[in-house]
Amino acid sequence: MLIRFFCIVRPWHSLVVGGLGAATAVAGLLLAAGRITSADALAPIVLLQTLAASSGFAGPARRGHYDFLIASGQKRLAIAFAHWAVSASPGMSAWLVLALIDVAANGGSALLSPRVVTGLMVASTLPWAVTVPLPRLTGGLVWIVFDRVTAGAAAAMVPTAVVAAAALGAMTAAIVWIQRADFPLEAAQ
Amino acid sequence: MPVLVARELAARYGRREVFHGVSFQLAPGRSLGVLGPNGAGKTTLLRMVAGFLTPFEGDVRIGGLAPRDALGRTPVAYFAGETTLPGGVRAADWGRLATGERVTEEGRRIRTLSRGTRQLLGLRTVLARHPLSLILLDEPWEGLDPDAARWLSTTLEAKRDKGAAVVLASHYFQDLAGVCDAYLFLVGSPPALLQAHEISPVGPVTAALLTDVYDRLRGGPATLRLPRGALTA
Repeated sequence: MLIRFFCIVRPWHSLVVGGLGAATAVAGLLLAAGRITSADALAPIVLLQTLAASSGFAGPARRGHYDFLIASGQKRLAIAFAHWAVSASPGMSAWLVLALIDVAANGGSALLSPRVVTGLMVASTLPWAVTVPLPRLTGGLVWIVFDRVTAGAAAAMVPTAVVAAAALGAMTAAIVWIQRADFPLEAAQ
Repeated sequence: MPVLVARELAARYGRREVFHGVSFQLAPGRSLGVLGPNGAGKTTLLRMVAGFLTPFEGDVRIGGLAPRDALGRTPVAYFAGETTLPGGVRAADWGRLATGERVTEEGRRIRTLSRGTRQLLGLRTVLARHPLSLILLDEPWEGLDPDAARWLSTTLEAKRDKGAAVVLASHYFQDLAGVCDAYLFLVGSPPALLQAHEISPVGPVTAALLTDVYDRLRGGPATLRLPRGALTA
């Protein structure tokens, strides 16, 4: 029921997901042809994933879009996880497609390494968590600006475990927020 | 045992008090009409009951539990109007959410439907669940054509006969006249709760009687809304 709901009431921006699909198709073709490395193929996917995962919860909830789901008795914890899973699914799907292409074309793939998988999880989780109480795309835009300002140095300097722990902490905070938040209707205030 | 108990509820948005001192109980198969002008807190009250809002004061119990705990155990239907439906979703997909069965064959996206069709879609979807112990509807007749309005009245009556407690909010007296067992007027401070027989000892509660009570509670003639029928020839 939960996943079905969010597959019908899609949390992500369709333009971002369209861009993600197009980027995956182009990167997949170039990867299969041996024109780019797997790291090059993944870079735009991660960038777009930060935007796709920045789906925002508070906005649609305050417009009443989630009323049916919340009033139907689903636990808010489960709602939060389902929202995250569906928000993260476009980029995760794109990554999986590229990894399979890489394996088929080259007999193996760096895209399946734990570091890459962790990085993708962080890129799916941190922007989602930051955007839960904020307008859609906020987390992704903050991520991109931060990445540009630090020229990618921060990601290289901070140990993966620390970044993963930060993402987990942010996700926990976001889930607690969803569990406790009030959702007045925007029109009724 | 009452399905729904509200004790001394108060609501605020920032420094603005919306209402305070709202108390009522609702037994299975009974219905409550909530009346008041725009901004009186009808939507806020229903969202408190449904667990979307925490009361500033007081508490709500559904089947003896706080709303957020009760929703998983007590089947509740809640609908706050067609503006709460996500416009990008196809009507047929939305209609299947409650039971998996189609409530409409309409394949267009919700935003392209007429207001009344959207309202009917939302109502059909939340009322498709069975059984229901508590039904909370905010301005449910808004935008409905006569056929749809008749369907809604018949459906609510049938659900009530099967034991569902019903709370209906409206600012149209005509909508709630003769429909409810008790009426909560969100005017004055604290709001007034009157049983139907207190408003009309003999015969059904009419829109004219509700208007009269509303006028007296406000201390003057009603100027905000006329009953719908009053303007027809």
